Amino acid sequence: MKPNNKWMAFLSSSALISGALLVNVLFGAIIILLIGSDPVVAYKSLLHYSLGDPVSFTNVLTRATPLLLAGLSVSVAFTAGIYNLGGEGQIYLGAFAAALVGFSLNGLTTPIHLSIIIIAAMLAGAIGAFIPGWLKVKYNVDEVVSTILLNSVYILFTNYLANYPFRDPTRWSGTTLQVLDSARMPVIYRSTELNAGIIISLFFVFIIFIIFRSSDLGYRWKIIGLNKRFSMFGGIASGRDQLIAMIFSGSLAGLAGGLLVTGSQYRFWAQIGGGVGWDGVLIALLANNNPLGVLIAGLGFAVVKTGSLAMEQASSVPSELTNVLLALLILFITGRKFAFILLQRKKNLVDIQE
Amino acid sequence: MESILSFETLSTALRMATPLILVGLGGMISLQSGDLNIALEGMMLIGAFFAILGSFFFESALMGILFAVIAAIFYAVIFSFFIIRLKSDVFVVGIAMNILASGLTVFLLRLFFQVRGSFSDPQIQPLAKIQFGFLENIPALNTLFNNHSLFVYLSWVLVILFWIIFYRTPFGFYVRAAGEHPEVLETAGISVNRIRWMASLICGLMCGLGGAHLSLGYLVLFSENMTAGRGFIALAAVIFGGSNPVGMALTSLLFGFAEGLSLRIQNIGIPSQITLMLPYVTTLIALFLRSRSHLLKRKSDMLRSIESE
Repeated sequence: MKPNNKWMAFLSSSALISGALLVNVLFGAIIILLIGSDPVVAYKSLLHYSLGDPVSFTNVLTRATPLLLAGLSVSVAFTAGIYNLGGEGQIYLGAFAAALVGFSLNGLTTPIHLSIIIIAAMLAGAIGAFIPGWLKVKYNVDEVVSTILLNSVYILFTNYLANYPFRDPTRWSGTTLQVLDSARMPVIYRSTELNAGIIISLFFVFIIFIIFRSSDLGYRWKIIGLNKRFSMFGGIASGRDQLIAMIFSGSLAGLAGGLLVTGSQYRFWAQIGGGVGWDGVLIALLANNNPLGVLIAGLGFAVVKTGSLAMEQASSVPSELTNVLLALLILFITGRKFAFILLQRKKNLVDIQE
Repeated sequence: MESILSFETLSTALRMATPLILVGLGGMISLQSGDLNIALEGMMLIGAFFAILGSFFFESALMGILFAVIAAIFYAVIFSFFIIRLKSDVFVVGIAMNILASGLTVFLLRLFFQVRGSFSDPQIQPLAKIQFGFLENIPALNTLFNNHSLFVYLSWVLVILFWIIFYRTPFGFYVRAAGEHPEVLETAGISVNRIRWMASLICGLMCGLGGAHLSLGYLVLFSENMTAGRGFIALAAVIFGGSNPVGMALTSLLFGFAEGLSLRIQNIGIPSQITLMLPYVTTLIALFLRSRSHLLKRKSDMLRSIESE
């Protein structure tokens, strides 16, 4: 492909996403008007409390930390044509493993303790994704259904552990003990919550980018993903690579859970995931599974999520509106063909008239 | 133990299977027409929410059902517009629509009722319970078959009806042909897309009914993401039942039984987190066993064909 074409493709896809974004923002404005609020005030407060000053921006980055990993996790699996929708459950597994290792291993220095936690969290997530991956590859059990069912199983299981064997006896509800000081990510900007976790997330964006761009494995994933139906009917031995993709995907989700514990929550509790796994699905879809796209979409997501709470206070627009708009954005982008169809029809009409 | 495996448990199983059966029938007709509908979960959730909305504002269960059905059909129209008209990726659209349903219902819950989490109100009219007088004298049958909502009985009637539609009517034949041999159907002068649209609308209708039973049938409340994977459990039942509504319904009954059991065994001191896993684990095991037996059958078929050569 000539570089020229590549740039054109990039430009047209950027234009497309900007267009969808614009439609989305207008759509949101209409809804806000219908509720009886002022869209300008709402959007202004959304941006002000997420990008208005350095401290707000650190909140955005803190929020982006698990979102980026969740988005990468989904991207890896989707690229390889295996639909891992189990990120949410795998995040709980990773978070629980991190908390367990975080409060039970005494006398370690911070770097060593954090390294062990990261490995434990990734391993837990990997095991969580390996099971549906193996069922898919070996027995052709539909992974969309199995990963979603396993979400419930993993969330219930970790909640059981936090409510019974590993419960903090001083708390009334099911949470584990707090992790030790050596298991907490160092804060990297003054007295905010922003911690070294964001560096780890960015590092993995880079790693996945490299794997996709210039490794054999990444290449095979793309081929399998592109020829999903073909390789399925042809019985091509794509199973091993898909299983590896699931293990990567699960590790990244597990790590997202681990960073939630070590970076900001400092313990496992009943709703620690809070939908991050599902946000990861939307991010990956927005980014079309491209790691750099995940970086942009993930940061954008974090801006909107951080600002939406401020928007709620400033303009009485429920913060949940943003979730609706973000899901709609996917549909707008997916539905881009609609615009083409309309244009085509108009062109045909013109042709006929001439 | 006798308190666990009682007629009450079976009665609960029957009740819990109902939304699965209703949604499953919708998923089945979609699948027969060639579309694996992974947005069942979202359509069901939309149905459950609008059932509450209609029933609350009009103080009538019938309006609840009507709202649920219209909303779910509308949702199905959007879904089909994307996958049939725009030929978008069914997975991407399905996933996005499920997430949209989850966000939208939470948003509308805040907007209409100013609450987070869940909403319940005496003004909401539940589905009517039905009592057969002649069963009251037989304790076992009374527990098992009496005092259910109308939909419990309706779902089994619909199972039969769908079987008849699939195998004894031209429309059912077209639906199955649309999925298996679309080119033959086109050659016969019947629009495949029209059949897919009709199947999709019926699917929306069934998801609306299933959702309405979920929120008005026994608990009479709406809570965030109250479908809790039931759309996917129904999808598993569809995959399990193949093209047979009766098989799908019996599988749903098994999953409903697991749900009923999980409610029962909480009472004997097993942590709820463990018991609540039961329906999901049962579904997974069922899927695994089915896929494995399919695989074994394919392998033995292959061996046989090699031997015969």
